[in-house]
Amino acid sequence: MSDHLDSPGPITLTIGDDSASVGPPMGDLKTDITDLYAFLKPDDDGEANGELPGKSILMLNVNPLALAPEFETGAEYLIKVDTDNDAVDDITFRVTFSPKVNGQQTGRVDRTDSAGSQVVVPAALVSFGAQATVTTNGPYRFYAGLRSDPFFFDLLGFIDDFNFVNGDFFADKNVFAIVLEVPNRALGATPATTSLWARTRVMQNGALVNDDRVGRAAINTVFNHGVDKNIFNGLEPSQDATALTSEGITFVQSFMNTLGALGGSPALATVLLPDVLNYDFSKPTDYAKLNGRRLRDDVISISLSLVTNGGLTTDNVGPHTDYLDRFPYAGTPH
Amino acid sequence: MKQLDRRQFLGMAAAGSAVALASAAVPMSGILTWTGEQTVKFRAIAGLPKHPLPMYASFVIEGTANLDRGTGTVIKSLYAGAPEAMSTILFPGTARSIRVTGVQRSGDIVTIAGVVDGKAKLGPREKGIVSIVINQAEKAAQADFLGTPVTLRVQ
Repeated sequence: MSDHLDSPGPITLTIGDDSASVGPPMGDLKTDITDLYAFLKPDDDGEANGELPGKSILMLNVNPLALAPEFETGAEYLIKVDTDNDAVDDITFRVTFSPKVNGQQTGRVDRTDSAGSQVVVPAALVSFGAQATVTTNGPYRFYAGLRSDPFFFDLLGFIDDFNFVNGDFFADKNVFAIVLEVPNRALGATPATTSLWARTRVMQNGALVNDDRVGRAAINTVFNHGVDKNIFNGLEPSQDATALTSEGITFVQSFMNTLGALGGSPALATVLLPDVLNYDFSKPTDYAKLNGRRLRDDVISISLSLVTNGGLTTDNVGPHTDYLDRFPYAGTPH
Repeated sequence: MKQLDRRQFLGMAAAGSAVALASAAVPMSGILTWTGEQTVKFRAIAGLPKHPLPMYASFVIEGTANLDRGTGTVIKSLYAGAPEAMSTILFPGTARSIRVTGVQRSGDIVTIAGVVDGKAKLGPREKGIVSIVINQAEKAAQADFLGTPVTLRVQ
């Protein structure tokens, strides 16, 4: 529930005489993004290997509760990188998956920038069990498959009017993780103005269309109502400042209204939008300083404190204890 | 009625068109009905969390209770998605099976008492003894979710 299940169900919408079905594959768990993480590689040995200025770990998690048995074939799982602070992607890591045959599926990673596209990882086995199959190709390392969900949150407390007494809902849950170790130079040369977001695109009527997206944690879940969740998921971050909700107000105004009702500062809306994860890889990663996101960063407590202006400071749960100190960092599946 | 694809729809919605939810994908099959005047069958639903937060989940109570015998079964469940977009995804560990121990009817009000099946692991604020009050005239029900009173819409 960072953004787990933020548009889980199909709904039919009517505008005048027109109707549209907004559901599967739009509500497909296989492309439902739960979280995006970006942090400096903890065990970085880049300097020793002459690979300055080090490496980063990018983690895009999907498939909340790991209810779906595979990654979506034909879909795109994207980590987009904006290098110049305009909320438009300059670099894209694109992950795609083969059909699952005889219990096996492979993933491929491409990196695209203004100079063109290169294959980063041509084929890597997806891990469906406890054993993590890690694929290395040059400076890149890749994992895709089942993992312990690193996210922690008293979800039931959130649903129950902020009565945070139920413990960590995700402590025993799994997720499908896409983990990529990249040299920082692959993220561009302007760390101070770099930000990321995750995007999934699915095939519909023969064309790829936007499905889900996530920048910071829990934005869609906490701020967008009803059909606006789907509208927001379909937008690009560069549209966040001006796009309208189904009620005809801007998402910025809608966020301001929710912030005001929660006791927070309405001005925070312009910090939260566009919904991107700032990531200055020349500095230590710390979500509390709006710089990247580590697995152990308590994004919910940080967010609660911000959106309630200190009225609530914690959901009374902390990081999981199963994080690995090595790639792929997310814990062994439950 | 012509069909729009999602991209067309989003374009219209983002342009500020009025949007109305026409139907949910999950059929809302149950309604409050009486069988032979003595058995009530019902289904009630509420979106959670409450305003100003967006609804994220659907709290569903459904079951039957016999007025004469004071028996029946009621299931409480929590599904992902707001009522208008409810999924079939049940949040693990949130379902409660309730054995009805008493039913009272007074005008439009039906009060069902019961106990949670002992196999369920209750939350810290959750009680094992359950009371569900259904107001037929207002098509509303009152019940606890994890210990907090919630008003549900009877369907």
